[in-house]
Amino acid sequence: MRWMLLVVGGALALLIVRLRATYSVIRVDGDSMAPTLADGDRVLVRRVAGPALRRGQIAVVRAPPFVGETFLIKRIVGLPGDPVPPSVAPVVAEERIPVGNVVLLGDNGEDSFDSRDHGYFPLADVHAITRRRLSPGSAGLSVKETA
Amino acid sequence: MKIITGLADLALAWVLPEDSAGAVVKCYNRPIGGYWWGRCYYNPACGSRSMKDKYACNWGPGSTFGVRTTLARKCC
Repeated sequence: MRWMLLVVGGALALLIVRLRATYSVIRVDGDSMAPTLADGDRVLVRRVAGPALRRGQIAVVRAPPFVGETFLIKRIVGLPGDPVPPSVAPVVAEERIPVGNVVLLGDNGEDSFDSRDHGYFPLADVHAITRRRLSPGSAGLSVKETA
Repeated sequence: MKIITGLADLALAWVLPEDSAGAVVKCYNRPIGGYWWGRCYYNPACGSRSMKDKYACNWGPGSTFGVRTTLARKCC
C-alpha cells in the first residue's frame, strides 16, 4: 500500500513539474485585447518556440523596456515573410516581415499600443500563446476559447 | 463535461505560476507624466466591491499618443 502511495505521489510530482515548465497563468492588464480579453481576465498560456506560432493566435511577448510591464499580450497577425499589413507599413521600411520578427496587433481597434506604433516585435521575445480563458466570475470554474 | 474541464482548470490555476501581461492601450488626450484613476470594474479580489486602477501616460518610440501604464490598484 505504501509503495503505491509513493508511486502515485511521485507521478503527481513529476506531472506538476512538467506542467509548470510548459504552462502558466497570465493576468490581463489593460483593455487593448477587448472584446476578446478584458482587463483582469486570467488566461492559461503555453510556452512556445518561434516555429510553432500561427497567425491568429494570441501571444504573450516580452515588453519593450519603456512600457513598464514585463509582458504584453497581443494577437499575431504576421509572421516572417508575410506582407506587412497596411496599418503597420507607415512605421516600418520593408514590404515583407523580416526573418526573426512578428507583427502583433490588439483587438481593441485604434486604442491598442502595438505594431502600428512600435513596428516589429522580435520572434525570440514571444514567450507563450494563450490556450483558454479562465472565467473571472468563477475563478477558473468555466472556460472560453481565446483563439 | 464542463464541470470536469472547470475542475481541471481550477487545479491547473492552483499549481501553475501566475504573471501579468499588459494589454497596453495608447492614452489619447492625457498629459504625459500625469496620472488618473480609471473606472471601477468587477474584480473578485475585491469581494463584493469593484476595483479601479491608477494610470499614467508615458512616451513610447513611434507613438504619437504615449503609452498607458498601470501604476496602482485599489478597491472602490
